[in-house]
Amino acid sequence: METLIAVPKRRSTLATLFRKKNAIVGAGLILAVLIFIAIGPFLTPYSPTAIAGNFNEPPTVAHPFGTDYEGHDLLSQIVYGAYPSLIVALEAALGAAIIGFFVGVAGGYFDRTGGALAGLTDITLTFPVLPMIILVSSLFVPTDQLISFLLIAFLWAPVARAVRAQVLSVKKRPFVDAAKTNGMGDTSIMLKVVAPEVAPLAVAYFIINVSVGVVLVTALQFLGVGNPNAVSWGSILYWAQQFGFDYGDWWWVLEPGIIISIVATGFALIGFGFEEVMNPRLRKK
Amino acid sequence: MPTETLLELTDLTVQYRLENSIVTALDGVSLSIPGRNYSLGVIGESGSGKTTLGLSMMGAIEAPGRVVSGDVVYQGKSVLRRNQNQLRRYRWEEVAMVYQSAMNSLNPVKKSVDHIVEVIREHQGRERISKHEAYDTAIKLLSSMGLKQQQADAYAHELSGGMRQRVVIAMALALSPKILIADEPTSALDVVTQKQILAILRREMVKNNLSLIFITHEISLLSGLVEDVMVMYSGEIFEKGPLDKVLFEPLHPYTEMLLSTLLTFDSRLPETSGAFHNTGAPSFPQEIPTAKNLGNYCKYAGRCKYTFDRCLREKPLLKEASPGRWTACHKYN
Amino acid sequence: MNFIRKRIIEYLIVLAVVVNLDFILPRIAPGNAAEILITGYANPGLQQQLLAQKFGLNQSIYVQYVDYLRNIFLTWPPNFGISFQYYPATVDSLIAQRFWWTILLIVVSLIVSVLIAYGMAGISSLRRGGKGELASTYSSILLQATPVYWTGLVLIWVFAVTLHWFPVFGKVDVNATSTLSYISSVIWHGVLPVVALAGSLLGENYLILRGTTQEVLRSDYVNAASLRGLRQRVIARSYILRNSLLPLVSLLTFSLAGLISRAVLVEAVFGYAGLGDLLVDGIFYHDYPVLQGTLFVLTVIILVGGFIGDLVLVRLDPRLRKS
Repeated sequence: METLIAVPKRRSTLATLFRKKNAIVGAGLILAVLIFIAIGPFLTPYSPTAIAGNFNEPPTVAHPFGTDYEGHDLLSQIVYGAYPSLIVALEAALGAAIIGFFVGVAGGYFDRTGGALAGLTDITLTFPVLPMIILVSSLFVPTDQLISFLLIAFLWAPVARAVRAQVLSVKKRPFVDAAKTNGMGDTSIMLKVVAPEVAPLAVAYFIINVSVGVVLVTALQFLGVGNPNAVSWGSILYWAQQFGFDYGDWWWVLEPGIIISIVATGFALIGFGFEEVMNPRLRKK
Repeated sequence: MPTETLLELTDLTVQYRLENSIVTALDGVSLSIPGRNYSLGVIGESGSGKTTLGLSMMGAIEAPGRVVSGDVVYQGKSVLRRNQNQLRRYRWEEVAMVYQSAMNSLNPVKKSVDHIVEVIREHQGRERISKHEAYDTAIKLLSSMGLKQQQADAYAHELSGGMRQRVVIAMALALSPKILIADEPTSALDVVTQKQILAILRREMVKNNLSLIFITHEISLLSGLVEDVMVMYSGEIFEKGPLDKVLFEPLHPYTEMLLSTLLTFDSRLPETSGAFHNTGAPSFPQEIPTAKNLGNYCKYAGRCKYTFDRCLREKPLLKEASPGRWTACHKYN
Repeated sequence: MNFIRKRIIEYLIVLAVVVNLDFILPRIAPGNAAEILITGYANPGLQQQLLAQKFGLNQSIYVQYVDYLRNIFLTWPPNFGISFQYYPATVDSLIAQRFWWTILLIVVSLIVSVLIAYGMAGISSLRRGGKGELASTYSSILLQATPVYWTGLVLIWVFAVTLHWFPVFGKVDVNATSTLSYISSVIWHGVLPVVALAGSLLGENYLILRGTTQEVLRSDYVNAASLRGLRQRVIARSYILRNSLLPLVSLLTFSLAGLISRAVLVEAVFGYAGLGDLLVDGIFYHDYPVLQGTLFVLTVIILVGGFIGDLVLVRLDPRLRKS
């Protein structure tokens, strides 16, 4: 049906984003965590691996997050443990977003090779990520780099899928046709015309992938892939599962999970808010 | 020959609430459709309110739209005040609608013929009409539209645009409504198919005494199709009268201007909405008056070459300038 | 059938990749292939040599490859070798023991999560944009972001350790002998794992469902149906629900991989003796045959599940049936 509309002014996308409650809450959460991590080392006099106090102490003033069964201060552990978990996730998400972006654009733009790329994307989506990473890391030394690389190898696919879908619809728009009749070559059209349109979507997925990445990375750490003696959020839970129950240290189990959830939720909120803004199909009327 | 009034719009004002503004789609529109076998063309650009007009007649104004004042009356009873059930009966049994993207109005998981079967059974009662009977009726109806059995059994995505539009028309006529509202039913189709569809409409009008309200922005389609024509602009009716009279001796300056941009009377405009863009007429006024000060001035005043003082101070009402010729312009007051 | 054919090819490719990866990886990994394939980190020396002979690692690579494929595809049960941890149990016997338990967990969790997601969607669609919908959406995002292994731990802590409502781990009580007590024991042990797994799926499923339903609600054909004077109930059933199912099934099929990953974590946390648990144990011991075999079976599960999903989809959506 004809839409009967006086066209409202086009707000800049950033401004629209900030109006979305989701994104604000998400950003707030992330900011809180980031500040916490940044300031953390100054707040905690203890090194995460030092034996700092009594065993199995619930949260007290001296140890706001309590201690574990060996007397490590959990606050320090959580603060320092952020780095391995977050950095790998960020790296992986970035790599995945970049690759997924290019594959998605090419996949949507070209017809035949596009179909092949789409097939490749679908195939990659079918693999069980966790079991495969487990397998590979049992053979090769599971450094952070390796894990990051493996994650990228799988996480690019959802990005590519979403980007491709949008490219397909952008392809039909008049300015693409105009560019073609102006004689622009395929590569230029892809890079200069189509890509900028779908780039924001890729950014949205990058953010969502950070959320996914954090959960996956910590899951691997939790399972003991890699070095469980290196302090990370997942590894804290690894030890918590082994010994926490025996000693009744509920805080030991609770805290790392809470912070992982907060971070993952925060990124997810921002990412979804972004996606809603970028993807007109999801926009509420 | 008009007998009793079938459908009447009395001083209807419809507004749409958007994020930042209120758009008045229909501004005090009054219209009456006399009894059977009447045909009216509605001309206007996008944003003139012609689609809202059609929707109001179906009682289909929904959020963010709102009927602010006035009424739509069918056979003496208000349409807008009917409850859900009565409205259901009214729609399709009395008045049906076909519109431009009707091609997308088919359920992708249903066969074409099943759409018609569903409409028949839902309205006439599932107990009274068996699937078999309804199916036969549907097939017959579709074949009268020129669709074969194979196409009847097809799904929406398997049919061409023209075929889908025919299915939609068949659906609209399935219950023999008294009025058919057609809102740009052929805009997305090629010329050949367009002619076929128009021929179907003409035939149905004759066969079933159907009254037709044909909404379009392409004046050329109306010849040989409708007896009266109405020109809309910015939610108001600017002119109304018999088709040939209006086209050859337009009263309203806006009508004059529209006609002057046509290449010829009969030819199809190359870029159908292009004509309107060339005239410099705004597609919709950007300054939106709110409900409070629906300005007391002629909306066409700024563009009209005959503008005089009174046009800016007083809103011209739709008056009968000569028998059967209505216009809203101070030139004729 | 074009669609099905394409999907079958994709599945076969996935399978081929996994099979070949399983073959290639240990042979290019640092360290002696024999060491990896046969002994993990233990037993150097003579024993290793003898075992190497037994496992055919002295032969040319081509023979190894052919033997490998033959062992997997042409023998039944497929021969994945012998596990180190559970020596001398063969990998396939271990898998056989645990296979149906994993299936049970996955299927029950999937059904539960889809049902609840539908319920939530139904309730929140009654009032569009109302509090119900907002609450559901936010809680779904939260659920989706919370790591399932952690919710598992929390559940264990609260319900098993503290409240003693449910057992702490395992899938069944070894002492349960009669059928009835066996079944009830299985259920009792299964509640928490299912809650954890279904919960983590719930968030995602609800969001997808909500997205597709909204899209359908705004579509032309739904509006047109109401314009035709069809009853709300008819519209809800044949237009809205029916058309929302399609993308849901399609997305569920794609999310099977994630489902498996999550099931693995749940099994690990709950000590639920299924395939996932087997996989995780293999990590610590570097029990490569077990890892290899389990990965293969898990992949097959995904592919079969995906295929079933595709069949359902073709049945539901006429647009996929191209002649």
